[in-house]
Amino acid sequence: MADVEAATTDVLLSVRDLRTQFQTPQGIMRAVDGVSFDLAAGESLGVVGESGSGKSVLVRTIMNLLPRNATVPAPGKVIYKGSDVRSLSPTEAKHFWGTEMAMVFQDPMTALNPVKKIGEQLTESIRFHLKLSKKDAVERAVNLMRDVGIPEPARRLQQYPHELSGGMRQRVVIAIAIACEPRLLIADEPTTALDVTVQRQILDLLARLQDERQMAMILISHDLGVVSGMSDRVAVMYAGQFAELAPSQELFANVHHPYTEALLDSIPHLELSSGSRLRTISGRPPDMHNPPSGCRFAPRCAHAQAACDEARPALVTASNPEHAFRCFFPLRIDAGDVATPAVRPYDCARIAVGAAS
Amino acid sequence: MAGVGKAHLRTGDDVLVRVEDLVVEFPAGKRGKVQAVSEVSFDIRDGETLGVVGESGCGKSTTGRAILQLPPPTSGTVEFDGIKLTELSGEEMRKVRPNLQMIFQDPISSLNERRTVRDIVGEGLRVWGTPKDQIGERVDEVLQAVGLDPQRVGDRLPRSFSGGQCQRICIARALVLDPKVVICDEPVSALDVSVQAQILNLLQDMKSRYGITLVFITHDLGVVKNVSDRIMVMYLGRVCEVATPDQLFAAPAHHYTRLLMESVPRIETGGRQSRPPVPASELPSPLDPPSGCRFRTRCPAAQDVCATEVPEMAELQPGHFVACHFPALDVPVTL
Repeated sequence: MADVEAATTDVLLSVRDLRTQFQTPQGIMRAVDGVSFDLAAGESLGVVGESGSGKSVLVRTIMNLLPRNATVPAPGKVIYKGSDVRSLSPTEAKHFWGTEMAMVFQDPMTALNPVKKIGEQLTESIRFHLKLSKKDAVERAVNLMRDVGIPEPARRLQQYPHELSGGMRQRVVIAIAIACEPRLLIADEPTTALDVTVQRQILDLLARLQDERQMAMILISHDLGVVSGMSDRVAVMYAGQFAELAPSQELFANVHHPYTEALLDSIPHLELSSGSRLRTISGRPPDMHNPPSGCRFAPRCAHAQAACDEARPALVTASNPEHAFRCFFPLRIDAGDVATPAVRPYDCARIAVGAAS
Repeated sequence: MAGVGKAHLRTGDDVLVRVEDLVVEFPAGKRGKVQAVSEVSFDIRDGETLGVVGESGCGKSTTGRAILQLPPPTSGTVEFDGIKLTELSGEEMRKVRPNLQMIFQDPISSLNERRTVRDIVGEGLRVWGTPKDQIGERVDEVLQAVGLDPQRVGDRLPRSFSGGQCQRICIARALVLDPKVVICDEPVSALDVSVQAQILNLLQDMKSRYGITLVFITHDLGVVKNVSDRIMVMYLGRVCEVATPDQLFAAPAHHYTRLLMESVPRIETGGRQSRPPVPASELPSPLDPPSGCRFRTRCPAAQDVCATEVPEMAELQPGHFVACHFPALDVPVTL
């Protein structure tokens, strides 16, 4: 018991059996369907998945930024520093966003107000949260702009978003997000709209800021390459659930879930010789109004057997307690290495928790 | 980079498309014009896939469209199968156009949402006066070729299809007139990786089945390596490097090509922060491109001459050309 308490002290965020449902004309759409994990202070978690896997809805639920037609049924919980984020009043939430959790969105053009100067947008949250005078806020803004690598920060503050390139705009969005020193930064596809050389600069920037400020980060991407070099742990999401969750190095060295493997094989890696045929994943992701009754990946899985259609696999671990996967017939697991449910929910932050499904 | 010259042009009967000194200008505000493509020359052999790679604003899409005379280039020549397209009248060009087809990035918005798949795919045939019974037959044939069941999909509207299926419909539409050249402008950029792989495989199949020549425009180095027989790297409207995929990826000589390769996110097996950061640099304004080599403002090897002289294409090895005053030779790129 003692070590459990010791281990929980540095847990910043606990997500427990989180489900997010949308009321749609076709019925209830289960966008996120039983996600649990812990995030330690300063830790970075990468979440990868294809369109519709629920990764963006997951972080919006964590941020409490859901549209009205969404519901989060009990017992789903988002516990941040011991309190439930979902129960915050709108006023409490206003003080919570920015200082505790902040978010960087995909498209830097739509995330900024086109008719307000950069300086106004950047000092707005600084003045609100830190109660600084205008002069002090501007000074802080200049430092922030310098910190995120924007040359001539004082001049840039007087400009409008359209006067900046896409990469510079995303730097501004990041500067706004980190302005009040949040403990957790959520970045939802922060580089997807950017060119590859700019993408690399933005990722370098996020990694440096995370290190310097000891921020925890949840990085969402559809690109396994992007998350692999940025994350302590990586979660692969499929049909609203974590299919696999492991430390970054371990995951790519030792893929257990057939979906993760299929995803990796379908990328035209630079190491492949030119003209080589790519592996594809047949079919398409399930309709989340009515997901398959068994394993959600089974209809597309090359390794599926009869059992996969009958029961839903839970998130389990084998010999490595940090490597969780949701599969009855995992890859690269020795016979005799029996999979055990990942049941130590409040153990240390680095262990995933299987939501019973 | 960003050089001029024609050392990389080939001779021979099998050259199907030849583009020389292509310049495309667009009006830009009151101050005049922006040169999206500056003196670009290249050629494509019959049956070859030319990959054109570069970042936003490098002129790769404009170059692809200029082959189709959409819009006609400001200057320079485009020759297709011995015909100088740049000298044709509108009506003459229209007659050549069935040979030159295009596939776009966003498959959903490039299909008319109010027409059935059969109408969309068959429209080109109708325009060219193909008899009705033959249209139906031909449409079914190409739909089948791209992996769609004509009976099931023919009478449906585009909105009932996923992005990958819409791209299959676009490919069918491009193939229905039996073109010689298909220009693919970022055809897989809007698709998820698993679907992207299906479309890339399909394009390879179509190429071998119909013997088409492809121009494949993309920003993705992995994709361009996978599909191309020859790759042209562009930056700010000029050509940097031309080579086969194996030559280019084994020994990238242009410093821009190297920056691109170093920037690509790759699966890091070493975990968090196992990669050294790259130096930050900004793309100059295309309204006022740097003198001399256009890449010099971001180039680690730039010297005085790079600001005064535009580098010319030079052959490093048979088939490997670079437009750089100080190309990187035998320096492995840190991938």
